[in-house]
Amino acid sequence: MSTKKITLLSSDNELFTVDEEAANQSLTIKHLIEDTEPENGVPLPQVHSKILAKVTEYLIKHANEPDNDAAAKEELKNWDDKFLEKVNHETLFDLILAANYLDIKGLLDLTCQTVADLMNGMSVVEVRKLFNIVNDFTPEDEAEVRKRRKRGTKTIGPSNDQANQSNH
Amino acid sequence: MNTIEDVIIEILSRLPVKSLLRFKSVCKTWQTLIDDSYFAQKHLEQSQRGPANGRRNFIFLEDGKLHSLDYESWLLLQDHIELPKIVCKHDYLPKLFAWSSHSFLGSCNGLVCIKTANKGFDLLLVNPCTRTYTKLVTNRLVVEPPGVDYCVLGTTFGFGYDAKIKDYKLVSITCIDSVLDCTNQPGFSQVNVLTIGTNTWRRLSNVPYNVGLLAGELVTGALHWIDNYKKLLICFDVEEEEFKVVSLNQIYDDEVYVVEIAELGGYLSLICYLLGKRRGVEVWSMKEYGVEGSLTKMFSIDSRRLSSGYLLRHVRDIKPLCILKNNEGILLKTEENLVLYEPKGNRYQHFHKVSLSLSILVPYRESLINLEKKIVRPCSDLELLQ
Repeated sequence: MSTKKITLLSSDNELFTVDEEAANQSLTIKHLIEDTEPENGVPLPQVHSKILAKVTEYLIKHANEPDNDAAAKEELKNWDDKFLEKVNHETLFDLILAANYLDIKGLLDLTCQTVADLMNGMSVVEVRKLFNIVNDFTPEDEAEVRKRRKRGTKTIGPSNDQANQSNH
Repeated sequence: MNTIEDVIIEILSRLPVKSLLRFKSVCKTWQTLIDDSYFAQKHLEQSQRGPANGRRNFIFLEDGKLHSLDYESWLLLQDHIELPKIVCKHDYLPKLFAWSSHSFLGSCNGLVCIKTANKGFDLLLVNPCTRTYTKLVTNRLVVEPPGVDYCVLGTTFGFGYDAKIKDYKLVSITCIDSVLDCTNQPGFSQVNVLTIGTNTWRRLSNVPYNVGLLAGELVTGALHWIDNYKKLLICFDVEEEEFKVVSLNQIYDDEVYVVEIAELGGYLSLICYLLGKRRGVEVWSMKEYGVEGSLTKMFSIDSRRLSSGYLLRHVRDIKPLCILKNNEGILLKTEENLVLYEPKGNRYQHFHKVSLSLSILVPYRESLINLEKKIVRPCSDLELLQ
């Protein structure tokens, strides 16, 4: 078994070393290694050391995913829950961006699902706060949305078409 | 490529439909995004990957109006709550449809296909979650018996999705019998397929089965029926338009009266209605798709424990709706009640306040799909004459 080490370079020039097998879970890193074989570490200018530390922690833990071992799977799931337990919202979003950029499917799934679960119990106002979104609906828009939701909508159909035709 | 939008899509595609409909009010960008058909498809794929394979609800007809039953919320509450809280009335559908002569033809990707037997063969594709519907006027399906010695016994339908051509298909199977045949074993069925996007019926080869009158059950992309005469599971591949059969000899015995099919706990499951000593229902799950040997008996339900009045109900009125987590129990609909059966302690919990009358409950999954861009303009009667 090869235990080739890969060095990753964060945006603030910190070095992280992981096994190649762990690093390869990131398709972005995998392709960078294949294409360029960088000598001084794989440069990841979009990922800060604070986030890359978390990402490598995840990559090392998930390097050997259990296939059919139910107990090991359960253990890994518990680890995943703990992994994001004390993470604040800002770090969670940074991790999603990093997982998306580095193309790590497992981490993207985990972090996005965590945010989705978080949002599920939230009000619209709370969601706006979480995503730093400004409400751009006018009160008239909002009244219209409420009305439409109550009524339901017909998407398209022959009676519409026929009505249009008879108008011509 | 817009990274932020990609990430937002990744997150939102993991939310249930109900939350997404709420979050359309967050901002205009999100409203446009959630209404987009690309997002609807992405959300559908994500929910199909999930462990629960998307939330399932039921739709039914009551007092001439469409209602949906959110049983998952009900299961979470567990207590004797009143049904109205989880029943949602769908009163946005136009009144002009003759609901008395409707029939449910199946559901797929959150779209419920309903036939409204007016003059022609009108189809209504309803998404009960987004409260959108599409009416499709299509040519009347004509099934001609091959000769005077033959008669049409009845037609069943199945509604599915062809991922290859990205379009929905409605399959009809009409059983035809010879009036001269006294063996009581109906011989063959005529098969027709309507591709929704092109709005044309195509006839396929006849098949030597009688699949009864219940709508086809969609499991893992194929439609399924039971031939109770030949003791076969009939599978129809919606993409290839080919039939496959699986022998069910293993589960039929002297006391089995009829077998129906349902998707329960993520598996294709067989509902065996029994008369005689074992009078009641047995539920079998096919743990490995298409393999008879993988059929496993999950529940045995005693119909005597389900009777509440002086009338002994017909076993076939017992309909399993869903299996609880870890096979702890099974939720049943009887004539007018919901009953939760838990094998541990052999407990039958009745929910009498629930009144569902005799309506048929059709399962559907929550989705954002609507057919806005799919439908070509259907032919009107006028065009047919020209």
